[in-house]
Amino acid sequence: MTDIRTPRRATHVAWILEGERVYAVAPAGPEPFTVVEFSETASSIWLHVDGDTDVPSIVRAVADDWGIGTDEVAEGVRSFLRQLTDQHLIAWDAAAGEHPASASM
Amino acid sequence: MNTHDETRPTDAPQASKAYSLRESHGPSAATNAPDEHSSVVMPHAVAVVLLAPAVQHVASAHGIRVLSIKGAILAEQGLRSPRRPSDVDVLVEPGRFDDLVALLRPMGWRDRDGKVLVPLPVSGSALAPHARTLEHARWPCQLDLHRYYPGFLRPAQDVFDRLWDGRITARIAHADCDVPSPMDHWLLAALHVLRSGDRAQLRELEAAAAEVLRGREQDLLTRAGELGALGPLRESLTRLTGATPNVPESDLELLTAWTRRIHDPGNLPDAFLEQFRGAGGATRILLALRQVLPPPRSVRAFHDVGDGPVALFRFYLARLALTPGKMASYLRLHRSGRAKERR
Repeated sequence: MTDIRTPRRATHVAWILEGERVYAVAPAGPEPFTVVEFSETASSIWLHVDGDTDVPSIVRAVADDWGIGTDEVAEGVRSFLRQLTDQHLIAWDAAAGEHPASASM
Repeated sequence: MNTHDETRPTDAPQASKAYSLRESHGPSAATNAPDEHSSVVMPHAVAVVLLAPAVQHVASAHGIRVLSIKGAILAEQGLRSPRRPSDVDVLVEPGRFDDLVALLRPMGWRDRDGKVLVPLPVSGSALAPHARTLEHARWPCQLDLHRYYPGFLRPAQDVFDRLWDGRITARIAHADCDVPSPMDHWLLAALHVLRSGDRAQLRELEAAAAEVLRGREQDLLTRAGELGALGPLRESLTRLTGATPNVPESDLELLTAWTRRIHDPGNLPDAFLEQFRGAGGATRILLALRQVLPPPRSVRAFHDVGDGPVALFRFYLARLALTPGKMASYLRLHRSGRAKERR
């Protein structure tokens, strides 16, 4: 199934790119002062979550960044997006109407 | 609530460790982490950027108005050269200051000094302790919560309301934050460097204001008057605007206190007395005890006392010996203040 939903960074999230890594805090989440550090690859996904890029495009962009095939990154990207959702770091278009972790992406 | 385990990439079969999130901690928490791979030390440069928007969000979610002050925003507003701030400063609406401190406490923020803060005098103050410094085991920087800004001589709530009305939105770490307008921020920063006695920074600020606020000199004087900063910043404002501002008579008493504060910050019996007069019974006892026996951390920071219990014990003994004389001088000041009030 093709997923055309678009993730976006949650509006309350504060984040910065320091070196190759993203650090973020979600003060509207259950732990307002817990900062998470993204791995380098996770950071590259985050940078493509801009509210305009849908999931397949993010997969392609990350594959391009790392010079590998989309098959090699697709599952990791989707899994990571679920993780970001659970941590209140990203949100999805209201039109989707379903939790991305329980839907095919 | 997320634990270390929950932040690991448990459901990323292809990516395993590649796509991972780790909780980032201050040095003390990282040292105690059970698994070195489960936590990392948050760089200080990261902490000072992320903390302001986090505090802003928590405060505004509870209806508490706060303004992020100083830090990188001053540079973004063109008021000083970029530099890495050492901590994070937030100005809180005075009436909700205690609420915010209470809100942050269960979130892990601890009051570093445990200062006794008596409610601010309604007519304004130049002497009252102005901030609490909070620390968090997971954050490698301190959070300074200010309940008023010394040097703005008008009543604290009035000053905050005016700063709030003039606020602008700035992006800090990709999040919207409320900050003072460049003009208000300049006044605040100038008061700060006057208090810290940093002439070089004051010159830098004045040079920046000459550029950023060019053509708005009269507005600057008007704004300084509204906030009660004409007296404290008289010299700077004269250099900037070419006109010597008239300090309102109503500001003169606090201006005298302000001048004493910046010239002799370590020895201000009237600062203690102002607190003492505004305090209730139990708080008065606490204030007096703190005055006689300050916490060891403050003793070591401000009284050149060496490490170890013996040096500390000697300091406290010497302090106790001085107490009767000091109390007598406080009493004299208190009586003369009362006599002045009656007149």
